[in-house]
Amino acid sequence: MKFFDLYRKDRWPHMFCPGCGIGTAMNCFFRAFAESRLNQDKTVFVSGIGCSGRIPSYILADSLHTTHGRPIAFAGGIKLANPELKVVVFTGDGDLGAIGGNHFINGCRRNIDLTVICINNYIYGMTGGQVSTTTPFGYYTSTTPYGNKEYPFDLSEVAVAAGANYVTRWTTYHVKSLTKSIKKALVKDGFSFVEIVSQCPTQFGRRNDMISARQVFEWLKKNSVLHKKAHTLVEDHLDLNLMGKITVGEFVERNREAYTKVIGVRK
Amino acid sequence: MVTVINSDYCKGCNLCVVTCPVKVYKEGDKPSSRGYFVPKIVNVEKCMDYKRKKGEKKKCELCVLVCPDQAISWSNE
Repeated sequence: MKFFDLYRKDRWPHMFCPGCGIGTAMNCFFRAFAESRLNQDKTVFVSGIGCSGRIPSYILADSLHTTHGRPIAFAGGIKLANPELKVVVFTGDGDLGAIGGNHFINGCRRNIDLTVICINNYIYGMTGGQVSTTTPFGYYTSTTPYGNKEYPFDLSEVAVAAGANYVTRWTTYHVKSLTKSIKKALVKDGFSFVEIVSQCPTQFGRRNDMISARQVFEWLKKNSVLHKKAHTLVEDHLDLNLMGKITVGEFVERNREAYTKVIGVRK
Repeated sequence: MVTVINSDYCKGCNLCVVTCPVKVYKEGDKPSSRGYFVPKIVNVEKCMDYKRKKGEKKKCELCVLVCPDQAISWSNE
């Protein structure tokens, strides 16, 4: 099976802006999905609200487009009702970090058997470029014309602290590593979290002196530091994330038992 | 086997120009029917040479994976 076969080509070209990283994230995910030979009829794709919420409508599989911030709650329900299904959640940083923060933390804590793909573009893209919980300090958005004065969330570190089984972060530049990590996350039992830092040239780049998609893409490439290296640098690794440096890599790999197994849901 | 760009899907973001390790793509100068500047494929031989040099059986396919509009694919010519 080729990964292009999973797309609904009758709906192409899609509605994402020129140079949007969601297309790249989709490519990497479906390449990994096709390579791990999962059955698309036994998989449910759940999405929240936002640009990333549009992804399941371009796939030949069952999908749910849920309320803002609640994809993990809905996905957990699907998994408990029918544990045979593979449940994949597509979500964005506004969906997962802001309004759905509590669902995210408790989803990690319960270790429900889900694969969560978070496309983090540092901004609320669809609604007009408002400041998000992950916008780096000092960057400009439509609601922070004098620069962002709040420190951002580090979603991957939150997931590690909350007890997720597998946590990894890559940017859209690292396509090969990202595909490998998604492949690992798909077969992993328990809560696996993949954060994809993506470019948003229309809302984020335009307000921060990066007019074209190409410039934001090169900014991501220049500012990403490997997780292993980040700990050996003189600066505190947490500061790297806050000052606009992105630590990429695999953050944690645990083997805790998944929630469905712990409570013994009948198949 | 060469890469082809589907000009109906391409939105002219030029990410393939940045990603390609052997600079196969070049920024376009003529607008397509939809008004986007679709990149040109300038040296396909380099792409094949790169594959041979690395001694890999698999294709590099960075451009296919990175293209946000799924416009780049392999043709069987």
